Amino acid sequence: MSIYWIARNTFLEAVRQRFFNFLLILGLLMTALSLALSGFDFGGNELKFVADFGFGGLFLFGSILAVVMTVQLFFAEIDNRTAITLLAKPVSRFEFVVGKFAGIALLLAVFVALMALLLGIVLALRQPVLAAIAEQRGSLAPYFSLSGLALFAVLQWIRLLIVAAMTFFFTSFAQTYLYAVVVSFCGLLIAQLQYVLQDVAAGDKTGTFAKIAAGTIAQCVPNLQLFNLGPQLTLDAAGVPAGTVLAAAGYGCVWAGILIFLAFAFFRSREM
Amino acid sequence: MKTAVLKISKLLAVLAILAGTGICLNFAFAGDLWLRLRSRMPETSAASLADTAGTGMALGTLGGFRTVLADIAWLRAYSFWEKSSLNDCEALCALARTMDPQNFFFWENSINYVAYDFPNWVIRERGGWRQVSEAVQAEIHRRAYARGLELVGEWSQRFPESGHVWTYAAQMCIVKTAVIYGRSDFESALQFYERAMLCEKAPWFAFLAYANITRMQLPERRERSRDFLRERLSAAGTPERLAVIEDALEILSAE
Repeated sequence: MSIYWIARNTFLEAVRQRFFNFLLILGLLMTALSLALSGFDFGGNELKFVADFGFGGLFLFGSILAVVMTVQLFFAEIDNRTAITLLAKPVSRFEFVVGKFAGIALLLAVFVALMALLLGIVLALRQPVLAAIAEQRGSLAPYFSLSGLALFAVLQWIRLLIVAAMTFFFTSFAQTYLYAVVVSFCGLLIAQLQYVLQDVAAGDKTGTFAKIAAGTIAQCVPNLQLFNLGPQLTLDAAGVPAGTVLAAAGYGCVWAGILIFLAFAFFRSREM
Repeated sequence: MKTAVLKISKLLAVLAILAGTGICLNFAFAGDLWLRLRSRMPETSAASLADTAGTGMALGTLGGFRTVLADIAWLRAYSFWEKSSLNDCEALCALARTMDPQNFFFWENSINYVAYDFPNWVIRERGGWRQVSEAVQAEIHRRAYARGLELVGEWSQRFPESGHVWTYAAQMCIVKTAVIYGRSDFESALQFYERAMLCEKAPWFAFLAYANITRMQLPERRERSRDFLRERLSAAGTPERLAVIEDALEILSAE
């Protein structure tokens, strides 16, 4: 029950913040305006251009939200001493961490759902128009799958959960707000480019030390590119096998779980 | 001392848990999953980070917006093209292709730059067409042609069903070999046309150009070309395609 109340308060506190509303409005505006910018595309598929804008906005603003809000909400509890009051009651540190994380997860779910909904509306409205134009020209009509977009939104939410869990982990031992934010963004960048480390570790031209270092780091961070299935899920008629989507989702959940466990382990011994 | 040991052992434990998770997941399914997914994703390799502007690639992979960033990279490449800045133009063209490899326009125009514009820029940089000897000019064009063919190979991997890629190669072969050797290599051009005609989406003009070039430039090859077209006749598929191949066979039969 404590987890529910902590999650609920975390979510409500986050929703009331200007930063969340600002990012949400910015993301929604960008998705809506992508149609106006589609003339800027060089001979590509207009639907792909609009979708790419939406996918980009979803991950970029979602990541900023996941990192900044996690750090801000955590440090607000520490700085305002509300964490001490809360933990003095029969609330365990485990419940505190899980509750906070659940609140952030709910916040990210709302953000992803709203962004995906608008993107879905824009794509669904534009697709028949482009299909008619393609038919007139005798070319292939662009494909769009609403269920594919919904699946992609779920995968993006899981990806953002990993980012939030990673931020929670760094925040659990960080002493300052700035340190937690900077380190979390660095972690995000490494996780996004994890495949490059894999390549370096497997490369023939790399030195032994570089191979070991790259290989070790590559194993210690999740590969966030595994969730980059937007164009395949939404714009490709061939789609993606259900097993692949489930595997990616499972991968994300395991990583988020492990990172939250580590965050709890550090937070347990943290002096308040 | 005790605190330091504790800190180090804590760090090692965290690293062990993280690495253990990564190894287990990779071993169980994530390794295979990534290999399968990677083949369907835009080029994501360490080589592309090194060859192209790393910042652009990092931005592209970090924030999505691949199509948009590819367009921006292309605009920047175009501004360098206007200034005849070869290295910058080539790097940004490569970046645009890397970020959005499914864009036909980027491939076609990159090869236009590489095969037709860049060699002329190099000659101009070395003093101009009167200063640079014909042999050196031919060598510069030969290298540009070779690079162009390399890019055609990569382009065809991205668009395996498109016959346009190979008709482009055939036309480039005719133009560039004329510049390099003083005479077009029609035999190689016809081979490129044959590859185009084997594609599912072979353009109709590939058949007609093939027949016309054989008839006018390599009449001794007529029988071979006729056999090839007859083979395509059996795999024509649509009545329109059938009519085009019959037209091409008629061109070959004309004196």
